[in-house]
Amino acid sequence: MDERTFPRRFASLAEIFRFTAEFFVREAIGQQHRFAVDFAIEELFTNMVKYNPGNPDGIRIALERREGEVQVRLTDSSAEPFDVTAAPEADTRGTVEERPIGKLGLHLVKKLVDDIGYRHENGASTVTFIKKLE
Amino acid sequence: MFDIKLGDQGEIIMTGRFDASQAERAQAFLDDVARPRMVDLAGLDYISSAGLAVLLRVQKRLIPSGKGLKLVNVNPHIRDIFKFSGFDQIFEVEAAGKG
Repeated sequence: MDERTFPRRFASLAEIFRFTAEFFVREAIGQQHRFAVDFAIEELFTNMVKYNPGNPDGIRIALERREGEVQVRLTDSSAEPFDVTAAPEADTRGTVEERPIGKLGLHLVKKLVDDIGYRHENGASTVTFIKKLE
Repeated sequence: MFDIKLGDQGEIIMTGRFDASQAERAQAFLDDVARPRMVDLAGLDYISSAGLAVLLRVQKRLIPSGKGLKLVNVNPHIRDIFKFSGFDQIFEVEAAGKG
């Protein structure tokens, strides 16, 4: 397993994507799977940045290659509970005028990954998702 | 690395990775776009929901005056994102390798 902690800011994304790129090369995982993994990490990471700015700690990201899949875990050390798996489905219909700005991130994450779970334990929020390598 | 610029034909060219850290810069560039344009995404490898929000803001501004942005040379990953978000219904989207 590869695990690192990243500063709680959008500017960390470049370093996070280097982290996933290096992991994919080292584990010989096809680059075609990286889009979904990077996308899900970005949406979950930036949610933690936006909605918990007061926590001075960084956000821990762990990548693990398992049989036929990659498991990714993001941990926010001290956060109010927010179950990302319970987020309502986004309404993707409607005209340009009717469409709200935003609200698409978690909807798209659920479309791109194969499983996603959430737990809140000892004050920490952890989101885990699986991307199958098929 | 993300870049956004105007091409020789007046099209908007986006390249690289359009993530949340680039949204402010892209929005500032696109806020100066006063008329419908083609957006060439041939060199765009990645877009997140922050990038979608930027595109939607521009489309909301342009559509009332007629046409909006037309997104061309869209790679399969980004085409999936447009489809799952319903953007293929509110933007004219053309896949890579067409036309």
